[in-house]
Amino acid sequence: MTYGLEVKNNNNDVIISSDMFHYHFIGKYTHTALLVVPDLLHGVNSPNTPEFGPTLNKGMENLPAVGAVYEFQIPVNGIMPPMCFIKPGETGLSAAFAAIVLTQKIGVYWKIRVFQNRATSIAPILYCFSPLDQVVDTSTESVGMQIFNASGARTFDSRYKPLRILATGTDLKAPTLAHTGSTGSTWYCSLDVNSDSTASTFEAQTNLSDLIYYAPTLAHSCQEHQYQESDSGTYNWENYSWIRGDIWWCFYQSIFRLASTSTIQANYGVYARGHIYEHRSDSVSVFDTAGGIQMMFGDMLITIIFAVGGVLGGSYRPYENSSRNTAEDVTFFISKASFYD
Amino acid sequence: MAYGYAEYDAAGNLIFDSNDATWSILGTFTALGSAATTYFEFKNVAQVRVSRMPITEINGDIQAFTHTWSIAYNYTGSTHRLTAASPNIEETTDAVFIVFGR
Repeated sequence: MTYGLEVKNNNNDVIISSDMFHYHFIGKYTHTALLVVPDLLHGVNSPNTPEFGPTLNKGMENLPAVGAVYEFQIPVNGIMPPMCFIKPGETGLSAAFAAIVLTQKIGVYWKIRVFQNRATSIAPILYCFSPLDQVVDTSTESVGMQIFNASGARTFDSRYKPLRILATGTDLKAPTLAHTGSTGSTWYCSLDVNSDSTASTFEAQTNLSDLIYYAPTLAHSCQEHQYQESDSGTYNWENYSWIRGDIWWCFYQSIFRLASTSTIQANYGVYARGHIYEHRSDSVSVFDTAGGIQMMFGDMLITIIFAVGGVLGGSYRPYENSSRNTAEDVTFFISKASFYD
Repeated sequence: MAYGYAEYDAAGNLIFDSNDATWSILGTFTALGSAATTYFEFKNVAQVRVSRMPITEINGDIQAFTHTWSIAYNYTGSTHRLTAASPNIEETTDAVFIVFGR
């Protein structure tokens, strides 16, 4: 540089430069709503009696619990979204996992959703930062330092609590699958998150409960369990036939937790879940020889199930076995809440 | 501290310290999911961190790809160049890239 200010540390890293912009604290926010993604449960019965096929597990039985979505509203003051650090309600190896799953501009605020694999008694808090041109200039402080670039724009202002990053890492990656092993048997699904957490380490800090982290979630996956069965025979002087097909599924989002003062872990939480089924049955008297019972279900295949409930139209969560972005590394940053409280 | 730079507010609170691993913003840009590639040049510094922040959902389907990225270091004498690539232009979310450096 030919002019301006540049501050370096003993590793020759640039800490402050008038050529670079710096994030500054714009506030800490508590959630304005606590949401749960509604279950998708849809079934067709005709009729629903034990003699015409199994009637068990036609609800959300055996599916793992869905996680909690904390919604925040961060005021907009510019075109770029805020950089939001999560101060989790829990830390350590038994803590809930959490990550930002939605950043969306809605009029005069950014809607931020933090997904957590379960609600906690202490809710997550967001510590938010923006470049200086998006910080509302309200300080009356007369002490400090400002740095301007060649265009005359402020790039650093000590009055607005510049972001202090204590540690970072680039290799935080979700497990390949949320659930490993069997996804269930017959009418019983097994879709809980059972993958081992992955981990990334960072420079050791002190006071775990004071740490905050920024790590946008990228990976998600969907896993399902399907089962279909049919039967026909004679019961109580009637020829009968039935067919039942079910799909249970979970949609998982990758989320994170501070496991120690030097470790951040990744795993999944159940973001949404569903169960759709169709159970058809019919019967005719054994003395009625006009119609063949076998003809009734000639065109009834398991694919009929997917045509109900708007699922085929993509109006709800996906139910197929699939995943996205599981190979992508997440860059994370660590800071401390007490710097800004 | 024995050396370096620290800054305090009027109340004596430490608000900035060269002992931190602080990273500065080299730039931010939005990569559209519908664009096969997006390029962004930024100041040539020794260390770089790149963060992706998805900012949209694919309509009707929350399963979506995110951009992959790579950096051509010393693309020009004074800049590096980041290339963000959309794996699937119909199923990739828009994303804000934040490039940090020091």
